[in-house]
Amino acid sequence: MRAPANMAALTGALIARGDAYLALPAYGAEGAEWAQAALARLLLSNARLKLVFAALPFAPPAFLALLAGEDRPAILQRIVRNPATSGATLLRLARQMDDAATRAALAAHAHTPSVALIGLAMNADAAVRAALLRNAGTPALALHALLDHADAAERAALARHPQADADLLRTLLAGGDAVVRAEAVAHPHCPLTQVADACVDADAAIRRRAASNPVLPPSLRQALMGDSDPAVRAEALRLHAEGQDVALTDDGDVRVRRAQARHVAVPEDLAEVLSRDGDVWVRVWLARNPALPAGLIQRLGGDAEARVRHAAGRNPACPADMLATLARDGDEWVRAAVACRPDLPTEALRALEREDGEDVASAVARNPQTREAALRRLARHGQADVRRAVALNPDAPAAALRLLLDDPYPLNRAFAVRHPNLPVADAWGCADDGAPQVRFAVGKRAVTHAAAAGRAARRHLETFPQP
Amino acid sequence: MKILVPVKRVASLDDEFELRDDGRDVDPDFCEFDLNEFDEYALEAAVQIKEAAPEGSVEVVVLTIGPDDADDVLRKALAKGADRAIRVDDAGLEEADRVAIARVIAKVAENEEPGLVLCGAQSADQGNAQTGMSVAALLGWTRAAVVSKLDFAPGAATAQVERELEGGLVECLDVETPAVLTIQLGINTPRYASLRSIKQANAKPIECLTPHDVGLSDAEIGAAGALSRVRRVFVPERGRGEIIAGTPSQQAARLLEIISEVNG
Repeated sequence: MRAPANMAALTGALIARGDAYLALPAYGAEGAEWAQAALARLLLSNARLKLVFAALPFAPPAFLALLAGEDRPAILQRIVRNPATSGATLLRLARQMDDAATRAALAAHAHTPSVALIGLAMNADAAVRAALLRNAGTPALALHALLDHADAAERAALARHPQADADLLRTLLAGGDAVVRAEAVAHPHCPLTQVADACVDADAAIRRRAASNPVLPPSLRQALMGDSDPAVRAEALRLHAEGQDVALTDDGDVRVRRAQARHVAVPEDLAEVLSRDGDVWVRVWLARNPALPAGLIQRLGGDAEARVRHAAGRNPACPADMLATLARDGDEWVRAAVACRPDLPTEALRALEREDGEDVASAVARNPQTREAALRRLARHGQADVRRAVALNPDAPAAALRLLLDDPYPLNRAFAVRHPNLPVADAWGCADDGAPQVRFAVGKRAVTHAAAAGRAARRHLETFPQP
Repeated sequence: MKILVPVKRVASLDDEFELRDDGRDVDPDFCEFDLNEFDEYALEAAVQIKEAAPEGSVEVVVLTIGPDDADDVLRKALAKGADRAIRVDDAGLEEADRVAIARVIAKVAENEEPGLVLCGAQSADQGNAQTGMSVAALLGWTRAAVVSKLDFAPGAATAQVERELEGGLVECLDVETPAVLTIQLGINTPRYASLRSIKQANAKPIECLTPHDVGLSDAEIGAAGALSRVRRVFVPERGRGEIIAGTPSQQAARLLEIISEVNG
């Protein structure tokens, strides 16, 4: 079945089919403006669909703006909570709805414009205050407005809010509450003098939080790395930047050793010691460390603990011969770790292509180097997760993806339809699929394709104007 | 031999919903409808019996009672291996309860003369678990409820079933046929219908009957045939509950306050 060649033909076909799920992606699409009224009639034809689409996070924002003209409160509530709703639609709804649930939903929405968030903060009940404190986009001005009546938990939330400014943090620090101070000194906007004071505070929890401040100056971080409290040392080390000249020394505390094992600047002699550590997690973190010398990755790839070998297999710096060794490991989870790697030596990948176990088969199915014949076999695997992995393979050939169009599991069909290597004509052949999510995916694919074709045609006309 | 599988189009509610104006059910605008999960297991059990028998010797007939929209669940059942589908239109059945519905199923069973009737143990939306047993009572057939294992050769005089009881006990029964069995979740792994079989199912006819067609009189259908009536559906007021927010120390402090309040 040929897919409509351009947006006009596609939009006409979508309207003629009368399927709202298939047509939904076209609403507001570039080139489909002429058919908005007909699309609107189709999309708004059913009370149930209006409720479903109002809550659908993939609904086009333009359609949600249209739906916001409905007067059923249940629909409007869903639009206010829909993450795809635009700021302009939210503002419009804010003006016409003033119930407590709507105010709280607006306060929590990532797209609510700052001006509306500030307005909400001026007269906020407990639910709105909580929503504003959870919303990472709440501006500093709104946070200041919340400070006046904030209880202890809210002050702590204010101190950790990403938009909290230095003035707000200074005020919060002056309050003296230890929990609030701990949050404030960890904040990247906290005044440096206050952070420096925190680094020598008698309370280890305050020092530890200061150590977690991402903009802590190197000299202060260096000092905290020698702290008497191991949790402070581990935290200071965690954010210690690569290239800073700080010696990492053997430490008796396992938390510090785990932080050392993860560090990209772990010295080779220390890494050598850590590779023999009795704590499995120290070895796991070390095996994952991409800065580790090949020799040590080799050693950890032979560790008695499968988790450590698995970590070595996932290390981007794992040498090819070690990858090949791990591909023959007795533990399936370890083999799966290397089976998805595009840099796995060809011979090892060919051996893994013959495996049927779910973990290895899923990993092979995702590997861009897997052969077409193997992918076609895996596209018929008994486990739905393995078949879906084929659809998630960025280089999956059309021949394998076509097999997934007959997959009994609708999600797998939807993934196959979305795959750019599946010709649009094949995707369009699923326009009658019984599962709404598949038909939506077909509509989306066809609309995206037609819009791109339209843009290409316009570019061509601009480059080669017609006489 | 036939196996009759009565299936229900059940409603699953949206996270938030509204009740109908008469307060006796949920507004259907807030419901997603699908084949009852318990019935999927019953259907799979029937299809497995068919597949294990010589070809053509077993016919799986699915039955539902409902409006045109309920054809969707019949088509799904056809796509999963049922051979024939019957829908009894629910016009005139508005006030039907489980027993009134069972009267319809029993009449269809009398007409079709199946060796087995396999029902889901209960419906996912209302959970009464009464329809299957009411069918058996109306037919006067042997019955077994909440069956977790079924072994039956078409034409045999008995079926071997297992039922899970309290305390981890398993009851093994020989059940004379014809029989009505209600099937528990987990007895098998229901198959997904392939896209090809879905398309084929869409082309199959659905036999549409009225309650009168199956032999029911006016006195047996709808409210007249029901033994119960829904007076009201409502969401009870929530009991006291509090989500304790804040840091662990703040939460602990609030917890102590609550304990002190409770202890007086």
